[in-house]
Order: sequence, then C-alpha cells, then structure tokens
Amino acid sequence: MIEVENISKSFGALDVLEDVSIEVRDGEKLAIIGRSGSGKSVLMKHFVGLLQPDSGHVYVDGEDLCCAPYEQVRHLRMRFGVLFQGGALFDSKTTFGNIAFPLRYFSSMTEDEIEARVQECLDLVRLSEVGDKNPSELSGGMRKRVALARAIAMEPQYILYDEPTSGLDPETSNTINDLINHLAKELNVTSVVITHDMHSVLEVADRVAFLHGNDLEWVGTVEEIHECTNPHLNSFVKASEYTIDEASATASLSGSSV
Amino acid sequence: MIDALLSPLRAVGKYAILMGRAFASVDEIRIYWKNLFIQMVRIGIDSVPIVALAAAFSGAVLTVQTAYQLETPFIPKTIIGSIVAPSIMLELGVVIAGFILAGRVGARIAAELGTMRVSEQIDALEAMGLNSIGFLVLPRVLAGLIMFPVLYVVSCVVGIGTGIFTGHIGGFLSVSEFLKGARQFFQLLDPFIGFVKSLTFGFIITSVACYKGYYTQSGAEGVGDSTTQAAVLSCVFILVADLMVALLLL
Amino acid sequence: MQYSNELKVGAAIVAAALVAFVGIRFFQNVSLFGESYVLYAEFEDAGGLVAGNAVQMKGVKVGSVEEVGFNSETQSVRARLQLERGPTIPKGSSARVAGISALGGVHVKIIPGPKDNPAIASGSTLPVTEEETGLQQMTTKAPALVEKFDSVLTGTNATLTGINRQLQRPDSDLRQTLTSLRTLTRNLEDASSAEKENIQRLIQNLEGVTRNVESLTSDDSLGVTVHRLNESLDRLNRSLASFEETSAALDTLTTKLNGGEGTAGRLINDPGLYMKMDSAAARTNDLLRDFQQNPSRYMDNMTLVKVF
Repeated sequence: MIEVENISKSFGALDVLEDVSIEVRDGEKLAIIGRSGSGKSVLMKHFVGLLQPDSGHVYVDGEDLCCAPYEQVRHLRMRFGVLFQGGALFDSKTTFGNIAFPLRYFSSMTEDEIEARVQECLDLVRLSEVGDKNPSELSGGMRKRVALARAIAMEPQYILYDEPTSGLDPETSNTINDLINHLAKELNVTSVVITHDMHSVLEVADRVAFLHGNDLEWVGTVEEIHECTNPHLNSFVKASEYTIDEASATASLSGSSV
Repeated sequence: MIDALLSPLRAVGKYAILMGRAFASVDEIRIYWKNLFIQMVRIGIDSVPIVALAAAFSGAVLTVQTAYQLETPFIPKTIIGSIVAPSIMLELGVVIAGFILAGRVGARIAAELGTMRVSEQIDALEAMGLNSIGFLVLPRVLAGLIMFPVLYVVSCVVGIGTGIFTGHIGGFLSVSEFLKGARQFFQLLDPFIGFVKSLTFGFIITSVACYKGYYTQSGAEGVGDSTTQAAVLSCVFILVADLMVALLLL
Repeated sequence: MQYSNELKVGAAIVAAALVAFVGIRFFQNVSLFGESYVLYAEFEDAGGLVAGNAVQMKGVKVGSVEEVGFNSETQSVRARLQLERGPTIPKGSSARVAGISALGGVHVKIIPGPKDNPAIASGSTLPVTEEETGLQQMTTKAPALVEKFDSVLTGTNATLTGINRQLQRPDSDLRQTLTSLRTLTRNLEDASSAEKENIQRLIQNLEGVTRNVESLTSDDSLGVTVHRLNESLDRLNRSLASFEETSAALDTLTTKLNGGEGTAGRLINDPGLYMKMDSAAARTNDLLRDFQQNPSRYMDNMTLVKVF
C-alpha cells in the first residue's frame, strides 16, 4: 500500500504539486489522469523516491520514503517495477541484457536461471524472439514491452506505468492495455497507470484520480466518472471522447483490413 | 544580480556533493567492477592513438623550434635535449594530452550521461534500486584517475622519442647529444610533477564531464549544452590547475 | 582473439609503470637494475656542482652526482655520487671538484689511490683534495714545483754523466758558467737558510697566538680554524724540507761539475742544455725570492687568525 500525505513540490518558481494526498490500495489498478504538465509524472516519481517532496510524506508499506536514508530507499525501490515513458532501455545493452540487468545486480541467480527468467518475462509480454536485438532495432511498442519485461523481472509488488500508450498506434495501445490487465491478474501486483488516454483508463483502471491545477480534483471508480459533476474532469473526458471514438473506429478498421 | 553571483557557488556545491556521493559509494565498487574496466578501456586505452599523435607532433615541433632559437655557436647542441625533454615531461606532454582528452573523453562522458538523463535511463537505474552515481560517475572518475597517468607515460615516451628522431633526421643534433643533454639536467621532480598533473587533469576532465552529463536538462539541446560545457570547462580548469600544481610543487 | 577488458587495462598499466621506471632510471643515468655503488664526498666549496654532473676518473666518466646538499654538522657540502659497478675505486682515492661552472663543465674528479688497494665499500666517504685556490694552491703547488725542479736536475745529472767519458777538453767559458752556477747555488742556500729561520720564528709566534686563542674560547668553529691552521703550518714545514733537499741536490751537482771539469766541455757545444739548467736555477731563485718577499702568500689560512 502506498500512501501519499499532503505532498507539495515546486521547481524553482513553478509549483507543480500542492498539498496532494492519495492512497494506492494493494491489488488495485489506479489510473492517474490529467492534462500534460499537470504533474502526473512528478507525482509518480515521488512514489519511488526519485523526487523528494518539499513537504509531506510518502509511505510505502508503512515506511517513510522521504526521511529514510538512501540505502533504505534503494531497498524499498526494489518492490517497484517502473515503465518509463520512452522505455528507458539501456542502449548499450541488448534486449536480453536489459532484462537480465536487474537480475545480475540484485539476485543471486546463476546465469542459467537468469536466462530462464528473461525468457519467462519476454513470454509474459508476448515477445519471445527479440533477446539478441539492440533497443534501437525495436519499434516503439516493442521497446515498451521489453521495458515492461525488465520492470517485472524482479517480481515487483507494484508496477508504475508512465504514459504506457502514448506515442503508440491504437492497436499497439490495446496490446499494452491487455498486458497491464494480464500482469495485474497473473502476478497479483498493484498497478498505477499515469495517462491522458481515456480509452486506456476505461480499459484498465479500477479507480481514477484526476490531477488538475496542482491538485487532485477528483478521485473515484471508473463507473463514477460519467456521473461526476467536476467541470474540469467533464471537459477532459468530453475532449477524450472524440479520440476514443476515432480510436475504436481505427481499431475496427485495421482489424477488418487484416 | 545576487542570483548571478550565487549560481556558480551553487554549481560548485552541487558538483562537490556529486563527487562526495560518488566516492562514498566506493565500498560498492565490487558491484561496479566490470563497469570500471569498461570505462578504463574506453577512457584510457582507446585514447592511446590520439594522445600519441598529439605528443608526436608536439615533440617534433618543440625540437625544431628550440633548435631554431638556439642557433648560436656559443650554446652546445646538447642544450636542445636539455630543454625539450623536461618541457615535455613537465608541461607539454601532460597539458596537450589533457586538452585532447577534454575533447575526446570529456565530451563523450557528458554526451553519454546526458543522453541517459534525458531518456530517463538514469531514473530507470535508480528505480531499480541501483546507485546511479556509484554506477555511472564513480567508475568514470576512477578510470580517469587511473588511466591518465598511463596516457601521460605514453605521451612522454612518444613526445621525447619524436623529439630525438626529429633532431636526428633534421640534422639538428645527434641522438647521443640529445640524450646527454636530457640526462645532464634531468630531475626526478620533472616527471613527478607531470604525474601529479596527469592525476589532476584526469580527475578534472572526468568529474566535470560527469557533473555536466549527470545534471543535463531537457532534451537534445540540453545534451548539446552539457557536451560543449564539459569540454570547455575542462580545458579552462586544466589551465588553472596546471598553474596551481606548478606553483605548489616548484 | 578477443582480450578481456581486465587484461587490456592490466597490461597497459603494467607497461606504463615499467616504461616510466626504466625511463626515469635511464635519464638519471643509473644502471637499470642491481643496487648501485654509492660514495660520498664532503667539499668545503662545491664550486657550482649540481645533481646530474659527471663523476670522472682519469678523464673517463664513471658515474654521476646524485645529490648535493649541506651537512650542517660539519658545515660542508655533502655530495652523493652514484657510480657504475665497473671500475673499482681503490682505497686511498680522493675526490675534488673540477671544471668551470660557467661552461657547464663542473664535475667531480676522483684521483685513484694505489691500484693494488682493495676497493672502497659502497656508502663510504671519499677524502677530498680541496680545489686549489689562492694560497692553498701555492702551498700545494710548491712541493710539486720543487719535485719538478729536482727531476730536471736529475735529468741534467744523467746527461752530464753520460757525456762525461767522451769529453775531455776544459774551456774558459765553462769555468765561467760553473762559477756563476756556484754563486747561484750559494745564494740559494743562503736564502733558504735565512728564510728557514724567519719562517720558524713566524711559526713559533703563530703557535703562541693559536694557543692564546684556544685558551680564550672553546668555540667550535675556532677549533676548526686552528686545526686548519696547524695543517697549513705542517704543509709549510714540508715544503721547506723539500727546499732543503733541492738545495742539497744542487750542491752535489755543483761539486760533481767541479770535480769533472773536462766533462762539462760539452756544455758549451750544447747551449740548450745550459739554458735549461740556467732557467731551472732561475725558477728556483724566483720561488725563493717570492718566499722571502711574501711569506704570507704561503700562509693563506693564517689570515683567518688575523681576525682575532
């Protein structure tokens, strides 16, 4: 369980988060939505201690990330798998090397066991034959799936997805959404999805948190979104609806053409 | 106005903290052992050809010009050797190598770390629970400290070697005259100061580049800025450090 | 073949360390391996000697000066000499600084001792023949001059004996020569005996002064001065003794010439020989005159005492 208590963060003169509190319950899939620049990624980085709040606390399973010594923070981070926006694959290593990387540093596995585990992870993200390729040889969607395989290699409790579907075609987006659902069910992990893709939200999320103007304006289940009265959320959803329609149209179009 | 004065101070502090954290993680070096050797090859061994090339030309030019300036019958020819060899050991060998490496190694490190920063690879390392400073910064700085003295030796040997060769081929002085002159005024302090300088420059180039690269901001432009600044700042600091070492040890 | 990074780096570091070591030893001009042969020498005046200068023996380079520094205990300059293993330096060798610093040719000269002596052990201190300057130069050169003169006379003597048998006829010119020679010799004798008294008196006086000074103060540097004074007095005495010998030799020669008059007839036919003898006599005379006129020049070290 991740608890965020009244955190505020500013970069120089720019206030990004102001007095934000939210909790992520074990086993759920929480989507954090909001417009670009609303501070979604900043909030997510606080979950793993990549950013320290100016004030407030972040508790991971009851342990305070903000005041812990660096060694303890590093230890807590091992409970997380993070899928970064661009995948953040190490371009000096092959696909196999990327996925094996955390295993080599943090597990006591033998080389054979590592190989087996990497293959297992690649199978989970449905990419079985790209192990010896370099990240630059992969497409955007494949890169994200490899990054996801790397994120789950250490069997984390929590997976954080930063814009998992941005920059992908709708079909690949759907594959990613399926994967998120699949992993949550298969591995029994807690997922936090940062996105502005309403389609993705509706596909995967149990609960939704809406960030607007440095603050969490609305938190509720997916079903409650359409009944909510928050004007900002309503306009955000409305603006997305056209894209969703278009997206499903494209999806069905491409589906029929194949 | 005050901010303009404070920001260099802030940068110095940030730099010092980065180096402090890098050396604080030295106990984990066993984990980063492989990385250290990769960096030693990239920073040190891969730089041998360019350093040798620069040293060869500086040694040759120095011999030709010293011979030209000392063209009087009153000064024995051996003096050319007495000037060229210590000049290379004390100053040219290490400073020219430093400038070349500020470009080659400094820019490379800054670009590498800068790209890792903007593509969130550094965040990814951290999120895995790895100490990114220990993993990225420390091996590079250590590799600089260890390999620059090696490059200094290469630079001296090649520089003095071409100096002797040029003196012989150009008909300025014979090999034995050069060696006699070089031996006559040889002092152990000369290569020692060169060695201290090589350590200093190695640290300056790699640490400044790591600092600039590690704290790169926003995108391709940020990487470009970091790379340029790393090379330029390293060169400036090499000049300053060169003077400081000379003042302290001579 | 693919080499591992560890191997590449290790090889590079080891190679660099080796090259640096060999290079430095090379420029220091020291034999690459094996312990080196070290001797020390303490000079009063280093005369521009610096580390790196050559050490020569019989004009051949045998090593280099490694370090020049002050020895505060003895107030002298202590030089560390790094020598090649090859030539042995026999016991009884001494060292001195030679050459002119303005020309960059300053070096340490080792004057080898008797060649049958065993070699000096590494680390020991060579006795020093001080560089000859001023008064000292005179006192050390005087016996040498006398010796030279002596050998000239001996040579003449041999020549004379050699031609003795062949020449019979006496000549008036020769008689003149002999007369002048005899007077010359007598003058020489007189001069040296008179000088002897003078010097002896001077020495006695000085000894008195020295004793007074010694009783006045127990200062170390004064002790050294007095010691040196005594040394130079000794030396003076020695040169005086050589003079006596020379005079005696001259005397015998004269007597010989006197006895075998006819044999000297050849002297007239060979004016060169006469001139040689004459100039030798004149040189002795000059030296004695100098001794008479400037005894102080032969007592350089004594000027130190004048301070008191």
